[in-house]
Amino acid sequence: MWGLIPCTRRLLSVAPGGTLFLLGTDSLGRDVFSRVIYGARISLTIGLIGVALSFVIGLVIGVFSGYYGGWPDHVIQRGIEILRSFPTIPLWMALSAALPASWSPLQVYLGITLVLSFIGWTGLARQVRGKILALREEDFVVAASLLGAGRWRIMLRHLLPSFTSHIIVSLTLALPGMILGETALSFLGLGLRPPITSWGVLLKEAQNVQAIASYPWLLAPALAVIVTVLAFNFVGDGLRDAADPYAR
Amino acid sequence: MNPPATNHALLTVTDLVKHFPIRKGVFSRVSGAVRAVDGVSFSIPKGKTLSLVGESGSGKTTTGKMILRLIEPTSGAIRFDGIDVAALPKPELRALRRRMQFIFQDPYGSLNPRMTVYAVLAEALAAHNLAPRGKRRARVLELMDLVGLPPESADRYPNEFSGGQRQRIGIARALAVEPDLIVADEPVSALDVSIQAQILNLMEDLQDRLGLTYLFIGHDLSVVQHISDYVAVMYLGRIVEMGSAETVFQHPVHPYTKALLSAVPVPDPRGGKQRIILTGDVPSPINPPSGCFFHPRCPDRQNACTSTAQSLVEVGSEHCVACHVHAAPGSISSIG
Repeated sequence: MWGLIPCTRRLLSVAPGGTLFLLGTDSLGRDVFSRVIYGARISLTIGLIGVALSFVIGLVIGVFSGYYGGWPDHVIQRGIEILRSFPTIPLWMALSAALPASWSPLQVYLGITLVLSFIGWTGLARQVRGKILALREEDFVVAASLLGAGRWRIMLRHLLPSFTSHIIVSLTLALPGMILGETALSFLGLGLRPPITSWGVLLKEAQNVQAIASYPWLLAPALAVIVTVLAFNFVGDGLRDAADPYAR
Repeated sequence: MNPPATNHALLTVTDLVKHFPIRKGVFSRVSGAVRAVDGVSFSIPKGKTLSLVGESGSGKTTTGKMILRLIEPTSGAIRFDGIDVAALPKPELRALRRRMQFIFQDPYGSLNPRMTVYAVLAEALAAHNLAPRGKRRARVLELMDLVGLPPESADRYPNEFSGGQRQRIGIARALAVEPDLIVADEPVSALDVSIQAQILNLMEDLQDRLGLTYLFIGHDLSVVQHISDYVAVMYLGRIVEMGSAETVFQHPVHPYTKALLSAVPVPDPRGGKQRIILTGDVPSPINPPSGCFFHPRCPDRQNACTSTAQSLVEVGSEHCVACHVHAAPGSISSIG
């Protein structure tokens, strides 16, 4: 030990000539730990890009629906209801099955992001619509329009700032949803395929009970998913407090 | 039924009606209407204050909001300085609203919590291009000075102010576009009594300095007496008595006005004033009583009251009353 005392007991190292695998190896002998870290790139960017896309779609549609009301609002709301009443997983499956098998991994990656955000925007659109409906009757909004402020000005100066904190929170909370969605799709073999590594792809290896029983460390990517989802929830909470210092 | 002093009126309202439809069932059939305002007429001479008083639900606020077209009238005419407001297309409405402003009841909900005082006031100036960019700050400070806000508070947010100061900001915002008419919807009812007087005095002071015309909506009669030149008493969407403040407060004619005035507390404990206690509740404006809306609660009810409604009849100079018993043509002698 420390080059002084000869010793054969090992606390935290491997046999001479061996390599240290912190989380063990998979069936092909690849290091699970480094694959989890590598997979984070894909899993996190899918979440971020997906949320960004659904944010834009949801915000535009929600503001439009809430501010103009009337029949466009009705059409949009019924559309959202239809979209939401589909069971998500079969819908994801159908959409990702529609992606051509000949696509390169990068194209598949972008396609999956699109599929996820295509379904993800409905919740945000509804929240934005609800907020706008409530806010546009507020006295200060009425006062602004009495003063002659234009529609865009009211929207950008009075309506949007009043619910940015709300949007931030729902976005950070939507992020885990995206990550989970990607994980679920890849786990089922419909999402990303092996040359690309994501947490879902890694978990696919842990699909059968025997594998889990004999090699429990293959579940390590699930741990990464849990930690990430929790972390984003905490970030959301923190941002809400930070974004609303003027709360009455 | 010409209201007082029509010849140099800034605002004249004729037969203003607002019925809110009640929709029922799957196909939203209109099954009835809430008769919020039911044929209201009055006029305000330039530089004067008319108060609309009445219980909650008597249509005061709805009337005030219709004048600015915040609520679209069902029928009736609104003439502001010769312009027919009710028939004005939207783009021209914007220009008109520069001359008519609104002070809100709730000083908390009426200010955007995310905008500083400066931003709130500058927005009004920017919207109508009233001050070039370079002079905006100076103009904002001038406005703040006008309503008695210290200049160093320009960059504070509304939550740093008290209710009374917030109402001052609301007044400054209304004044920013240099209006002629201000509709004040119970501007002091959300404030402490000690602050109420300050705000009322400020409003009177501004009226003298800027020649403003006020439509003051209120339910607190002592407040109304303090500020008004003319008073119109509303009951269930109709005006039952209208006249100069002095006449209405000293010599009320309509039984409802009398009951209302008798409910005002008197500071003198020995001033043995008899209170008129009305029985029953205000009837529903969905299904108002026949004839005079007040007859089910009226102590002086006669047969005619239940069948036909009496319109406003002039009972004295600048004094109109809608009552069969006390203001029927020929009963003018009954003015007390």
